[in-house]
Amino acid sequence: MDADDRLTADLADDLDGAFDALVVAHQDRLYTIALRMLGDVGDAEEAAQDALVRAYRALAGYERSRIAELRLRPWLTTIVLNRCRSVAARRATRGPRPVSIDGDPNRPLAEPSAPEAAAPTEVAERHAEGERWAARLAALPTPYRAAIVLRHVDGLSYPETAAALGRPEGTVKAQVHRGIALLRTMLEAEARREIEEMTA
Amino acid sequence: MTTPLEITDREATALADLTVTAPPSLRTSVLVEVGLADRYGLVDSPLGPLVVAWNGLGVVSVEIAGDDGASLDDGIGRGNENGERAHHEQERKRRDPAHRTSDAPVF
Repeated sequence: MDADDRLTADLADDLDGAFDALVVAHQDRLYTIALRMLGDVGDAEEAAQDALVRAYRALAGYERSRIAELRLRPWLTTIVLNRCRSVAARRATRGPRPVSIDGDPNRPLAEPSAPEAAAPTEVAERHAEGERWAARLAALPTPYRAAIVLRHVDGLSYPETAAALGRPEGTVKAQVHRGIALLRTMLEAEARREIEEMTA
Repeated sequence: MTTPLEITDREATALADLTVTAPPSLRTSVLVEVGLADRYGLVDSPLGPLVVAWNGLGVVSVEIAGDDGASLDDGIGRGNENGERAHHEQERKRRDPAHRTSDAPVF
């Protein structure tokens, strides 16, 4: 029995008593998915919060047996992706967020920290590299980005990714394939630009 | 069916490193919204300062804050620095008709 199996059993027995544990166990991954899909920390927090609230309300209406059989990871992922679509659609109609004068609104608030022993230059380089990969990912078409975020950032299996996206597994594999190919094209283009700049 | 490209170690590490930690406010906001935790604040009134606790379901309690701060200590002393407190047990009892008395106000 893995952690999610225990969690669904606890939720089936006592939703209110176990729901905080669900939030603690899944908030980082749902927030990560939302951030990588939306590219904005405020929108990501909104989508993740909305997803967890909707999950609670759905669970409150489910029979115990249905809760016990849930596969939490793909189920919660489907909910947060739906919320991301809603937030993205609303953002498209309202226009870009106002720019804050207090800091960069697109900069993730809590990037994973480098080991404490790392030198400042190493930390800076690691952070910059992360930002470059985030930008490459954000440049992918949405279906490819979603497949790669779930498969390679969140670490879902192909069957879980397919279930979360509501697409056949073969389609998901093709989208991951094309997404990776596009990322490599971007890397090659960046490398060519760097060489051109150095030799100019 | 397309066979996915073999992802390199560098790509796999770079993508896995794109995970981030959720802001601390997320957990609290979710629990408050579904009614498993409260936010509270002090509100001035003709009767004196009131301690008001609320969550996504509505106002949970209104108490007069005593001059000696007794209500503050009793009511919100267990809260955190953001004016929030978890109250799973109290909330469950409040929702459960078996725990309600006939004259207990339900907001």
